[in-house]
Amino acid sequence: MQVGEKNDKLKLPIFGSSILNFASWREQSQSFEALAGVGYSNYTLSGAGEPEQFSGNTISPVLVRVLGIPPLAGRAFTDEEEKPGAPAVAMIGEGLWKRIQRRKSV
Amino acid sequence: MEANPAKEIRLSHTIQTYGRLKKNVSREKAQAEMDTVSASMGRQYPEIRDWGVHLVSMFDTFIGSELKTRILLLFWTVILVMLIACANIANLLLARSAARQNEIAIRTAIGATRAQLVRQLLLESVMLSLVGGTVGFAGVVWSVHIINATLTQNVLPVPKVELDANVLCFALALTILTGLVFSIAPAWRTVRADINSVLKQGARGSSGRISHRLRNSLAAVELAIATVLLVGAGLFIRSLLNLEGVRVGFVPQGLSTFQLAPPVTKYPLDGKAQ
Repeated sequence: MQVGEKNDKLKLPIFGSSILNFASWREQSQSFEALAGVGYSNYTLSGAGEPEQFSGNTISPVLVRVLGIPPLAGRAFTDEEEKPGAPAVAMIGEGLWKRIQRRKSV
Repeated sequence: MEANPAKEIRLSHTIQTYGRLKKNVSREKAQAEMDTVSASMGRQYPEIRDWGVHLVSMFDTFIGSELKTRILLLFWTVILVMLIACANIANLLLARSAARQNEIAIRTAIGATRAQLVRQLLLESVMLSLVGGTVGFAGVVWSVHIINATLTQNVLPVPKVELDANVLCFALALTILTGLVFSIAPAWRTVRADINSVLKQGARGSSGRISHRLRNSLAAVELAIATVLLVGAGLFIRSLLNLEGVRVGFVPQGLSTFQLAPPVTKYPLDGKAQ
């Protein structure tokens, strides 16, 4: 279920939400088993070879539970990792994973 | 006085929110609850009082009714093309049934029952459609490969086009079903022939009036479907050409669009760049 904002005066039936509103919904609503926010950002992958830029998402750890799709390998984010000051962690797609594997084997 | 950043950011619609409803909660119930929540939030933070909450199912968010209509249209178009092909094959089988009357007559003469003959003929055409289905499957594998290799990223809402087990099962069922359904008439024609006259006439079996009518109506149906499809395709091409010439209100030639995501540390949200 997408939980969007709407503004009848501006004729916006469905719109993105603000982080603060999302936090309030999460505190005040009872209908949801889990409520997850998804932000947009760009990330740079560096380390081996040419650095590369990707567009990605900043997500609440519970998104995995909202979608009901566990990661293929490794683990999903823990609730601890959502808190400010937690070490930065990332989940990557299968395609990128395979590309990194190939690069390593060359 | 210090500006309250919390108030300003409540109107900054930067994220998407997704939720999983509890088991016994319907969308309407959740919507009603969220209406109450957002109304009370609007009283607390006046800047968002015009904003409410709208719950949309994941299906409508990511697939949408418009795309569904288009996919269904494509589906029925393909079904019609398939029907044309089936009518064609049925016609060919009818023609062949005339040629095989001699063989069938001999089989009947040495003791084959009608049921056995019908079973044989149906099995033959199911085999035929399975062979066709296999060739089609090879085409599917190949075209999926081509699509993945040539399509630019982000054209489709999925990272990669994949073969779907459900779709393959559907295709297999359809292959067997069409093989059966479209061979019933030819098989019936074949086994109903009067063996005496066939054997007397020798190799040349007459296909008969009923068969002629059947083949003519099959051809007529094919023609009708093909006309409908051609008209549809023509309209589609016409609208596509019209879209090319649509006036958007500015000259799009030579313009490009891009997005920047400058780091928040250097460009704070209050707009004062350092």
